[in-house]
Amino acid sequence: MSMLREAVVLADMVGRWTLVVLVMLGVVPLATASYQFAIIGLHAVRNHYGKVEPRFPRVAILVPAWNEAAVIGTSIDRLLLLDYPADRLRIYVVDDASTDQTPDVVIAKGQENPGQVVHLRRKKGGEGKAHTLNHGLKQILANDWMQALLIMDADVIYEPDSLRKMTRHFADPEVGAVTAYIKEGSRPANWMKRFIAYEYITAQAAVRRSQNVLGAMACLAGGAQLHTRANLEKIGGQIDTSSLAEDTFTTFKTQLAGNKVVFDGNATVWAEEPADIDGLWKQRLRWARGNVQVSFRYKKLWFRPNPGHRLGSFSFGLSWFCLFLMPIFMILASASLTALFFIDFPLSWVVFKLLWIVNAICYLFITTYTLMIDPDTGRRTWREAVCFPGLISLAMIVYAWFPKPFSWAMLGTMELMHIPITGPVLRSVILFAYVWLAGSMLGAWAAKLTESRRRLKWLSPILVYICGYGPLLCAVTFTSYIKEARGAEMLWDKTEKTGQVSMP
Amino acid sequence: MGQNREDWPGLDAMTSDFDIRLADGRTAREAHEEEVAADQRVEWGLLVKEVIALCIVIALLVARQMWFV
Repeated sequence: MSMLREAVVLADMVGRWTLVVLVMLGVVPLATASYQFAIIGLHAVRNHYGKVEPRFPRVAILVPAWNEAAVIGTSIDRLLLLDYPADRLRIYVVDDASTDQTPDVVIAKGQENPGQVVHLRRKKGGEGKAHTLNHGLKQILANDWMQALLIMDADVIYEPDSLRKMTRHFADPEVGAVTAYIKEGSRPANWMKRFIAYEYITAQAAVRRSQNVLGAMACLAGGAQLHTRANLEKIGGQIDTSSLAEDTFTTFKTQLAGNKVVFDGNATVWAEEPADIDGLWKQRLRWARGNVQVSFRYKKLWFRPNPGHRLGSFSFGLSWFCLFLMPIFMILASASLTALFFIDFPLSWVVFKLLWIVNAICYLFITTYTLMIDPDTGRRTWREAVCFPGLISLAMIVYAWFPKPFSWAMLGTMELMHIPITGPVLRSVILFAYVWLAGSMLGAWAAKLTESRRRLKWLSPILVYICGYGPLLCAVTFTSYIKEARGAEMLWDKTEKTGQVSMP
Repeated sequence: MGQNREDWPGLDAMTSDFDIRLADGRTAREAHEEEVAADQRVEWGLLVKEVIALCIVIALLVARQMWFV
């Protein structure tokens, strides 16, 4: 009988501690992100600038275009203004059977700049960017003029020095590809574009520097990827068409072929990003599904160090899967906290405070550092930086930092509003806080739904600020799991471009 | 100069990429030296900014433990 009692006590203890561990797994994504940010400082000494020299290879610029009449003319004009020898630059626009004025614009540019702007047209379009790129790539590789290939998007605007800042890395024969810092360049920028602009400082200027330090790059930006001819030939001379993340596959293949991929954070290009939740959702769903596909395609690569590349390193795998599995971490932490609430409330409260103090430290470090990494963008987007996790999560962060003043303020407000401060009310507030980690994603879904209703459209940005842009991205990632599990059709939902991009 | 790349036979024949004139009249060598120095300064600046961000976090942690818990 006593043995049975001991077994029950042991099982109970194991159960509680399992829940504690599952809750604390919720800090892993932010802690890993903080680690990535912490090693950015090492980029001062572990960068590629020691190996660069002026290099001006003959560059073919490949621009896939489908109904890009609003932006393609400006993009070509800006490319022609690149501070790069004109006789070493050719622009190939692959028109993916556009139905607007795109061919007329490109043909006119070709007539103005004979031999430098080339119009290639696909008869059948809509198969996706990779097919469009391959159409141009086949023709470009057919002769030996091209020494390096720049793949970009039709809306992207290059700063005059950006291309030569990228080609200089080819002085190192080990480098197979180079990418640049893509910034959101729409003017005026609405709330969504400001969120994206801030996100791009974290995802590109910051994280890609840390990937330079780690020696493994997750993705060459689709709008700015420069390859040597040798690298392209080594990876098969064409872009992967079997997935929605052709740029990530190209990046992985390059590194698996033994070539280095370098990010130059001082080579800047400007792009137009989605203006609403629907546009963002389509774009990010494509990326997230692509990441699921990459994760499975390279399942034998993860966490297996290899002397030929660094993609199998523990740190790279951890950063990849923390992003990829973040919704799972959030749901597990939330569910475990809720279970602990009913099993052992005092323990749940201790774990909750521990979870949020770690999150609060990571949030403060990442946010302050990000705003300083790119101060110009930071000045425009500091409100979105503060609201990135959402106002409700921000309240929990403030509580974690200043528990006493926050409690006084909260109880004072409740008193003012004549809300009775009773045990059940406080427990309800606490339970809401426990559920919120996962609940914020539901809030993000609600924001998407309200945007599609004409009468409720005004509510969607408010919901994003309350529930958070981060949870919105997690909701997209979670949706990508479902779509991939169901084997949903791979639709190439192109982001709508309006030609709002300009360089400051 | 480290000009040669096995995969760029065409480049070997170039007089030198260093002597190319840029739009502002500088040679590629002059522009390159200035730009690399400036870019390297940006990277050192990021290290300093990281230290500042860490100092802010530590200062707030100390203040929290002293006054706000």
